[in-house]
Amino acid sequence: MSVAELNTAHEMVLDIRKLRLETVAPRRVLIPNLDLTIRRGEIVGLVGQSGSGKTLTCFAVGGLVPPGVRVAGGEIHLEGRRIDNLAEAEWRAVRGGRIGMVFQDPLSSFNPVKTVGSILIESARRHRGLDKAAARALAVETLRAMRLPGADACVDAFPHQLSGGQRQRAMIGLALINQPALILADEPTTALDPTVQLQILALLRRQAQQAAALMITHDIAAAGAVCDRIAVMLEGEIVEEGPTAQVLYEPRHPFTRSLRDAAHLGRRA
Amino acid sequence: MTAPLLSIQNLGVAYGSGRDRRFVLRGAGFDLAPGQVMAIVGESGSGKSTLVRAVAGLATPAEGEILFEGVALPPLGKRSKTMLHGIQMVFQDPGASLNPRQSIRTVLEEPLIVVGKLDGAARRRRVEELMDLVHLDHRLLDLRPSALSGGQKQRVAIARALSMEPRLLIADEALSALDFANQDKVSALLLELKERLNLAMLFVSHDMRSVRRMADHVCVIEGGQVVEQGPVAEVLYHPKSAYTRLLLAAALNPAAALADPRLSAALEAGGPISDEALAGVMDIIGANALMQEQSPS
Repeated sequence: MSVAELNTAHEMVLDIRKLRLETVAPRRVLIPNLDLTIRRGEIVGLVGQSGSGKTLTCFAVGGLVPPGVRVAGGEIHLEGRRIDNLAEAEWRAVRGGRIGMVFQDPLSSFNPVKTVGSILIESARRHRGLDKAAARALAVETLRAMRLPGADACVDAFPHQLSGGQRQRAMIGLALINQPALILADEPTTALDPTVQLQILALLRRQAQQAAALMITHDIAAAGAVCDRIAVMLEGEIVEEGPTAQVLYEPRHPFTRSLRDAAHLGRRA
Repeated sequence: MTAPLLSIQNLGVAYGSGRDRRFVLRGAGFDLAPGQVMAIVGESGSGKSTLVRAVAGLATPAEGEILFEGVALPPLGKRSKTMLHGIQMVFQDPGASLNPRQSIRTVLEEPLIVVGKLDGAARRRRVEELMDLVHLDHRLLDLRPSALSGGQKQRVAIARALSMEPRLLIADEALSALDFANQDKVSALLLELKERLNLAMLFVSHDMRSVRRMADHVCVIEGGQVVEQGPVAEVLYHPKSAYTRLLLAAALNPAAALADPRLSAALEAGGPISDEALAGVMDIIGANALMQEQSPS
């Protein structure tokens, strides 16, 4: 391996090679052959309609392939290590540790009977082996970094006591608390008001730059606002991929063009 | 000048009682002429749904008055048939507003049976007419809602609202549950119905793209107060409140908004956005293709 190749390998956070996903019975191909890479510091958007397979791809990367679906071919590498064949016990160290996740609806992804802080503390203790006091200090510091107003009070708040925007800030904090290599964000702003969406996109863009991120969204305008690269997915396949400006302003595939036109984007920023 | 169809005067709505009583809307007022669309815009919890629910009789005003065709609207139980039929509503989630056990035919026929003006044959003709109005195939009539797409279900909900020949249609986030392509199609249908039936609308939304397409007037609500209102050209092209400007930027060009370093830093921090941070926002809004189409009169 040459020095240049070694450097590239080091920079590569996520490498999906010829990924194939099928339903088990009856056998039906959902994703025939998908390649996607993400480098350190990069935010990549996977954009498509419901049913295009974008969320399934995200689940496969997070080791959360739903029952009845299996990885039938290809490999997924995280920081140079193959992860698609990990056992569940090994996954538990990766998820929440090297991979942080942000979902669409923070209310249903937080445990309603636990305080926001206790969920962050539990994650920090489990993955970093911190004692209670140190984990709590880290939780407060993380929520503060997420610009959550009154971070000290929020640690002891229950999820329902926070607004939708505050909950999503806390969710991003939970994803980031163990300094993951990769953030998976599945429709992170879809459930929020437009002005709050913009706040969360600004936060996510800043925070994801320290790691690498895969953002799943149906909203090409939101992807355009935060992503370095965009991959457009249609019926299980990536039909177009490139730097954000190119995909938005010089789309090659008619489907990309239709997504772009429906979003009524402005001139190039 | 035509007499207003709807006149809202100093409307206030409060929830709770005694010490817990809290106003969620206060001092709202505007007139709406027949056949005109008023967009009600605001964040979740701003009071925009409360305003239209008061008009529909689903919330009781604590202050002020709502006049419909010149007559003050009493609480729901005391409204005349003319009032009840004249104001109809379409909700956000068409899946939840249609009975899953009823066929589309039953959904549309039931209100006609309750009113009791038409015999069986006339009712069937009217049901087909309603399907034509919303451009749905008659073959769908014998299916249940679960067999229809989200866009088709919302068309059925609109057809049901039209069965009473309303003069005012309230659409409370009626496009929000649909994808972009269906949003465009259903908003085109609503505009067509507005022209054809001289239908006035209260169009609740925080999607500025459909507001731009649908509305003649816009009323922006923030924290239970109307922060600005006026003709769509005035509010969208010369927005005065910080909230309206931010909402427009979020809807029309989030990339440009985040590319502005001051605005981006303020957004990341959350909380209120200063006028300085919003200084560049009008350029962002003005550069949008949608805003450069011929401005609405």
